[in-house]
Amino acid sequence: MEMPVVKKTVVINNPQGMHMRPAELFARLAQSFESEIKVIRESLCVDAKSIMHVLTLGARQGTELTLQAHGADAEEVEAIAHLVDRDFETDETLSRGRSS
Amino acid sequence: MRRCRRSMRGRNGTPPGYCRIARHSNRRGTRTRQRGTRRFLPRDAVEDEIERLHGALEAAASEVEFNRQQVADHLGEQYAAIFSAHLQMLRDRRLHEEIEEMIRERHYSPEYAVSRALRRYAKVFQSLEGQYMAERANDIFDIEKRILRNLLGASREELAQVTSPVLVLAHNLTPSETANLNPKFVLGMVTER
Repeated sequence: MEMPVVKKTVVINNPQGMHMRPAELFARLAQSFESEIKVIRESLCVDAKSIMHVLTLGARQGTELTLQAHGADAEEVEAIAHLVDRDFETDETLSRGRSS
Repeated sequence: MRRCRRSMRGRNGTPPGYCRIARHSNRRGTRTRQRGTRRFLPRDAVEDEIERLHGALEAAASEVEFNRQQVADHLGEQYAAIFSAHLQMLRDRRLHEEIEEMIRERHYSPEYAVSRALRRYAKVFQSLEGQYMAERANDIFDIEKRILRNLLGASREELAQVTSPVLVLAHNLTPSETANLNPKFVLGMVTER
């Protein structure tokens, strides 16, 4: 069966950009997906589940990133977009009721 | 378990779990390794060395987890966040793959492969716009040091072991080094950066 591919564009809003803490939350949330998730910034395309990869994007305030999920739970990539939209403010980020 | 080697309580009244940094390299077997900076491996050593790499990564991760907990307990969760990030870096699957590939394909020793892989990231961070990301290279050096220390089985981390009042003058202090300073003895610190 063809796995769905879902794309979502987000803009980094927090003044420090995608620094350590956001990158950590971002990668950790991505790891909870079964789908393969890529983050694309212009010509760079990296693994969203890798904090190292995510940091190499050097995303700053105003940077536009595209999330591209491929797999069974790709539709839920919205949750990652939501994390970015909320400027990485978390309370339920990591407990949105997904298993692993 | 080998976590627990450092304590903010210092040397006197050492908690039961305290131990000097032991020879982690022997944890998974009795083979003794020569120390040093041998760069290349004989072909038949690859699998053992990859296992040794993973032992060191796990040991480093449990140290960071211990630090994270200590800092969270003493200073609060927000100060411990940096260690959560270090933990993620140490467990980064892509990083693991990159290091393993260097060991498997190029027959680098785990020590050399760890340095090569991490320094590549440090370089990228330093090339990014803005002071903040450039400074993140420090975090990379911090975890590099930690993994290497576990691989090489170095016996102590001097700065964490001071037993009398000191002033610390340093070119640079990594987050882990700072977190491990014993506030009982460290009266002050000066860094160049």
